[in-house]
Parts: sequence; C-alpha cells; structure tokens
Amino acid sequence: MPDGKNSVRPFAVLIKALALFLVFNFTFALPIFRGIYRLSLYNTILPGRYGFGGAADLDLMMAANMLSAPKEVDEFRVFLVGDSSVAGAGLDTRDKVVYLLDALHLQTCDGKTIRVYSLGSPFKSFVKDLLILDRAMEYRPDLIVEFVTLEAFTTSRQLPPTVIQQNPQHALALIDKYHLDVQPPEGYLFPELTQNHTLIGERSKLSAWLSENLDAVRWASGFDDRSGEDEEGAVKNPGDDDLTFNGWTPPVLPENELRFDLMRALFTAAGDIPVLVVNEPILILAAGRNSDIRYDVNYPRWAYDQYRRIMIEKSAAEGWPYLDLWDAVPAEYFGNSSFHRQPQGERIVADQLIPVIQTLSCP
Amino acid sequence: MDWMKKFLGWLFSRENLMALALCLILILLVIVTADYKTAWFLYGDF
Repeated sequence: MPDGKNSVRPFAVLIKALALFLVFNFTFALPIFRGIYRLSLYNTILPGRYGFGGAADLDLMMAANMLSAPKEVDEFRVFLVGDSSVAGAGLDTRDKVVYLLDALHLQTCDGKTIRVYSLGSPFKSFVKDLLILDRAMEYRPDLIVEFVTLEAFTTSRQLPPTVIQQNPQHALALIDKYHLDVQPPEGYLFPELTQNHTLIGERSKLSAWLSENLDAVRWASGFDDRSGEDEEGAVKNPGDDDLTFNGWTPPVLPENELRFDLMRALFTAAGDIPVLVVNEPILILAAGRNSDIRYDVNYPRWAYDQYRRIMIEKSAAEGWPYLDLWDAVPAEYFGNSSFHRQPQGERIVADQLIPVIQTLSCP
Repeated sequence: MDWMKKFLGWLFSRENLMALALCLILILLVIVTADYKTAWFLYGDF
C-alpha cells in the first residue's frame, strides 16, 4: 500500500482544489485585500509612466503614474489636468508636453526642481477631472494646471467618461462631497455598488491589475504604446453648416448654462494650491467649406468667440491665473483630430507654459 | 514532536500540493478570462 505522502487520488485532488478555491474566493472579500491594487511594479522596481496607463480604475491609474512615487524634499510638483490632448494621445512619450516640461528640470526661485506630471485622460469633462484631481491631491501638488475648452463646460459632457463609469463609488462620493449639480441617469452609476468583492466579483479589476503590471515591464523595456492614435485624416474639415452648439443657437451663448460651478469645484479640491487655467489650443481652419462660420468640426465661431470673451472676463473677475492658448498652435501642427497635437504643437504649448509656471512657482 | 512531523507530511503531501497547483490554475483562469478593456482608447473616449 502506498504511503499517505506520495499517493495521489485524482478525485480528492479535484475536491481539495475546489475547496481551496472557495476559501480563496471568499477570503479575498476581506477589506485587507483591497490594498492589493496599490501594489505595482510601477514606481517600485520599475519606473512610473509620464501619465496614466491603459486602465480606467483610479487605483490602477494612480499606481502607474510617476506621481505616486515619493515626493522629493526639493521637488515642486506641477500637475497637468485635462483631456486626451493633455495625455498626449497618439504621441511618443518624448514628444508629449509633460515630458518636454519635466525634462527641463526648471528651478523655482527658492531652488526647488520643478517636476511635471500628467493627469490627462480622455474626455472633456470637469467631473472627470475633479474625480482624478480629488484622488491625486494625496500626492501633494504645488501647482495645478487645468486645461479647459468650451466643450468641458457643457452638462452633457460631464458623466460619459469611462473613468467615471469604472469608478462609480468614487463618482457618487464626489458628487456628494462637492455638492455637484449633476444627475446620473437612473442606474448609471449603480451596478458596481452591489458588486461583491470576492475573487470572482473582482476578476475584471484583477485582470486589469495583472495587465497593468505586465505593461510596466513593457514600459520599462522601452516600449512606447502611443495610446489613442487617431485614424488618418479624420476631421481636418470644419464640418457642416450647422450653427448650433450643444443645442444652443446664435446669437447669444447662454453664459448661465456654462458649468462654471463644476470648474469652481476643482478650485475647491485644490484648496490652497494655485490653479492655472489654460484655454487649450483648438484647430483653426482658415480655408474650406464653412470655415467662415466654424473653426473646426467642434466649434461654430460665434459660440467659441463668446466663450473666449466670457473666460477672459470671468478669470479677471475671480482672480484665476489664466492663459489663453486657443490660437497658439497652427492647423498643420494638429494631429488627425481637432484637438490632438503633433510634436511641433506640443513644443509650442510647452514653450508657452514655461514662463507662466516659473512665475507661479515663485509667489 | 512526532505529530508535527506527521502533520507537515500530510500538509505538503503530493496530493495537497497538486490540489494547490490546480487551485492556482483555476484562479489564474478566472482572472485572465475576465472581460476588461485595459486601454482607455478602446472605449472610444477622446
């Protein structure tokens, strides 16, 4: 008769394996295991990214970003917040504005090194920016640069971003914390609230966590994924002759419907940290059908011109540091969308930001 | 400490180790077969 140590009963192996799986499955629901998502190869044994990785989960986003590395004593942190153009969609890392600024290692007047981090993620939405900034404040910024554009001020743009849908608990807490006047459609932010935290319930997030850590190895080995590259020649035309914007018709842009309340929530989240508001460059098409009434596929001229006037007046009245870069980038330096820039466009934006960041870093 | 030796012998028996290996394979399968788009640009957000 074989001894107990070396005999193997296939059916017993199966039963024991299933029992172990059940134990692991339910044990994983203990709160202590929520911290697993903060464990990352990024910023530990491998370098972090100049921005977020591919995941839309807040824990994983922060873990991949260089900003989650410990802050140096002589470091002055600048956070760039905004949409996919801030994330540098479609560009190699070395061409992105965040890299161009960070690589300069600018100095503040008291000798601190200015380090620049990107919190850019797809979609023009203040609620999405607020969700990310509110979480990122624990990484102690010294200056926040918020990139804005007219679309971000519309109510309809606020809740669709994937980052909001993937973090419903955080989003609902955010709406409550800042008393945001946004109404998620029935059930829109609900499903994950009932999700169990067992291993099976968390399998999607675990899959993303695993994938992010594999990406960390690819990133450290020099692979640059150029995420979000657009299709060739997508929208290099001003669009049709429709003069409406967001359902608004000329001649007057309804200022009271622009979501300045949501932008102010960003200032609230920033607390004592200064916030520079940058009106991001848009594609200005000077020729072509309908270019006399539209700047690009997004903006009729009447609406955008009034938005710029309102922004200048508001920032002056409320004392916001404001930089209007709307026409800073020539049309040929845009990528294949109306707001993603080519490397030359990124260089222009970086050059415009340098003196302003230096000024604001020396109060 | 004879009982300890026996217990460890049972705990690390080939059968138990095979059960653990099978369990870990199951866990890995559950994770890697989950549907999760890990790149935001796949969502169509811009």
